[in-house]
Amino acid sequence: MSTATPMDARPPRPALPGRATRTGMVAGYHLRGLRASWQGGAVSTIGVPLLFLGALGLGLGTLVDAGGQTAALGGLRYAAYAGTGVLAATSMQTAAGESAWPVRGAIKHSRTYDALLATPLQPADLVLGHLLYLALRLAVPACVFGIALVVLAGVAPVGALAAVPVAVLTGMAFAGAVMAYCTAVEADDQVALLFRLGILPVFLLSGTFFPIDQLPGWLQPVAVLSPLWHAVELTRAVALGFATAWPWGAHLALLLACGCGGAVAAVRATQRRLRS
Amino acid sequence: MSAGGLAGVDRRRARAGRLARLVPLGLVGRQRAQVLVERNVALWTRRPAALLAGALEPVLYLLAIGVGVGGLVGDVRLPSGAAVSYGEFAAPALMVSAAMNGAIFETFNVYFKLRHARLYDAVLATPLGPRDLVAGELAWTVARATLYAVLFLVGQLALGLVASPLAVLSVPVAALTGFAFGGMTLAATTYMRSWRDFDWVEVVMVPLFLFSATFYPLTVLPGWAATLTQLSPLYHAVAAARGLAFGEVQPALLLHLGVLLGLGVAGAWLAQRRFARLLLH
Repeated sequence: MSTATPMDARPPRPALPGRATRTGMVAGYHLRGLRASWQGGAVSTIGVPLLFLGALGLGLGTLVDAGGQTAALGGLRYAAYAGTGVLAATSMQTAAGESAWPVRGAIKHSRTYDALLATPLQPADLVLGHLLYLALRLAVPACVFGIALVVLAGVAPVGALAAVPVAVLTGMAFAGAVMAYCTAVEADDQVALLFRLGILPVFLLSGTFFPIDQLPGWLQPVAVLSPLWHAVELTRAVALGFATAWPWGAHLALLLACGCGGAVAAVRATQRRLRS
Repeated sequence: MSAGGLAGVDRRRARAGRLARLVPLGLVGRQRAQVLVERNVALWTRRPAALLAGALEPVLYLLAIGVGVGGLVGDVRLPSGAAVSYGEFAAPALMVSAAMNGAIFETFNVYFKLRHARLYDAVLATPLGPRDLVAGELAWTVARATLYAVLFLVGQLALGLVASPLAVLSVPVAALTGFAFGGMTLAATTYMRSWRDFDWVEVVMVPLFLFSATFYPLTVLPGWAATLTQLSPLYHAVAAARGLAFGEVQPALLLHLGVLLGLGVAGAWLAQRRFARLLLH
């Protein structure tokens, strides 16, 4: 008697879940991972920006507000001006951080992606699922920071609420590109350099802490190229009713384009790297 | 590896040895520890981009805070009543903050060498003892802090934020800051149980950086906040660097320098004791 089962006697393979379901599954996997390790992330993504806000309001804000240059800030208190900048900038940093080392670890070190790809999941699912998780993850510190802006910097509650989706969009504008870069490069040093030579200058020089016309003339056109500058303009517009440098639709479109372009690049890079 | 490759390694070793001799460890009676400095020099000269990125970071802060925010603030009054531009005011503080950051970030390297690479076990199997280990690693931290401080000064000059030639005097304060935080970091790293403990590094660093009168004079703070600020070790580095850079030398300068020296020595002493306990028994 033969022990082999004839092919046609095997139960039919269940239908592959659709892309949306697969994306949701990957996002759920990341969210469940937070249960074990949310404390450290909470400290650095909520505590540290709040400290920046405190230092800006308490110390530096006193100096700036007394300096009589508030016309350059549209008559705002420095804490409100810089606080909205820090909200957008922090969202960028959190998104970049979450798209760099964890993704690299999953590809190179813990090889979680290899395990996930042994299931019906495809490389694009891993990228889109991670991005979906990130969008949800970014909303939490943005909400906490929004409350702090209301309490510490006198921002209107409606404005702070409206700034939350802008902060999420800001992070997403960077997430895909960072993921694509960290997936493509070979050496870990190159990831560290991205933060020191890419993210940090963008953080400091995109109108976060001061209007970009304070920069030396040759740097101003460079600052305009920074997606964070567009994000900061948009954040101040919705949170403080600030007039934007470009039409607000242009800032918004640019951020959306960065986000979509980055996502496409990340999918391509992941497909290239994990195809074996 | 080809014979040419081996010759290249020899050349690099010789160059690292020459550079390492610039660090006068003989002065503290720890000449043997020179080999540890040499190892660090050899490693870092192979990654010049990483080394220079560390130097660029504080200059970027200077550009943003000194030039950008400076334009909003205008002048700042020193304790003597003299006015300096905000950029000139912030520069010495940013220089010593960079020395602190560099020294604290060494914790990742030290932890890796202690727990993963097991380098220190290997070192202690040679004639070098725990004290040499601490002297060698600290000497490298101080050397790097000094290098960064000199490069920062060049950036400061390029941005036109040097008030007087006395600004040179903030460089030795930065070196001393590297020593103080380097010593404490070495000791603290021996207590780290896993990488998860490193979440605390940011919790320590950011408040020190933001609340040590780095970005504003102590006088703008309410009394309780000013008192709290003086408990920060970085505050003492900032106050010493500023006092020397602006030629406003007061008796308190000795206190500031003494605090830094004391913290460094205490950290180094504790670190060598901990290394001995962890690795020799």
